[in-house]
Amino acid sequence: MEFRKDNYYIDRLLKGDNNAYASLVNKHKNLVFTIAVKILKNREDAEELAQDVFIKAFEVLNTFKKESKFSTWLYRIAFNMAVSKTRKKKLPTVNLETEIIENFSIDDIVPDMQELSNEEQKNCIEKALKVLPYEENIIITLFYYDDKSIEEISEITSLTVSNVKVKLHRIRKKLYSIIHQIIIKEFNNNIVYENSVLHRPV
Amino acid sequence: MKDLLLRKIIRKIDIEKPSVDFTDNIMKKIDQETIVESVESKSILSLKYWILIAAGFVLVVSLLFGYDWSFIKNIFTGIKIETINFPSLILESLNYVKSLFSGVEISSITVIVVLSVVMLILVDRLLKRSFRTNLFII
Repeated sequence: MEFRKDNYYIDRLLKGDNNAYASLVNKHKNLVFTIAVKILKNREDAEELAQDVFIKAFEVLNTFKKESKFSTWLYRIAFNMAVSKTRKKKLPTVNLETEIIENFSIDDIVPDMQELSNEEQKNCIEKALKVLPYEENIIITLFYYDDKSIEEISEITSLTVSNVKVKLHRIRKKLYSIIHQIIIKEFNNNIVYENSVLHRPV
Repeated sequence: MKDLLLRKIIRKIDIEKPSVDFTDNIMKKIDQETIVESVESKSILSLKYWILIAAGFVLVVSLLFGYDWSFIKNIFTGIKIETINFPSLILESLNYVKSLFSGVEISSITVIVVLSVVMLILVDRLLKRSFRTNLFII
């Protein structure tokens, strides 16, 4: 489905055409829902929260200054609402040893990845993303999937620009490490992979 | 170049999708919210009703000061129907009806109470109709 620019719908909406908001919802619902799922880890809760995000955005739309993209503003609302919902319960994360992460680069996975079929690559990256904590998962998704800039990710996550840069660098290395382990586990079957703690082969 | 490989692979994954009625649910909630807001911000009665009420008020005042209310001087002793003089040009026919009750005497307090109850019922119906048309048509 083809969409116009967000400002076109926003202008119509501010003139009283509520139906224009349906187009905005359709345009952004998948990524808002994805952010919610990644943080809440539950599709039902995520759907409810994503709906609340769009209703909240509708209510406070007059505060949107058009200084940033509507999507950035919307994802920030989604991120904040989802995080505040999970603040009370600690979600499980996987810890990787720092030295292991630091030693990894994309060179470690390129040959292996190129040997995989498209479907295998897809499965591999999906599994790797699931291992990441939600904040890292969202940073990677926004940066690579939605082409958000470092500054926009900083606005969405309330992290400083330099912090996002550092995190992005570390998450990449972490992701390479996880992908490398998944490839070895799934396709070579000769590596220990227990309790979600990954160890680089010697 | 190598980062492009990661971008290319990540773009292959399927993004999460909400249920098919996701947008409809949101729009329903927004429409309900908008209607409630419009009712809250709008006065209960429209201009048309305010004009009718004002006209009624003027009519009542003009009747109070422009009509012969001498028959009511015996307010605590009772009003005889036959002593009431309606404007002949407008309500001559009522005089015939009035004659049917020529022997009947109604307490003025009863008249006031009945008129008050009728007024309250009319206002109640008016307000209910106004609410129904503004609030429940979605």
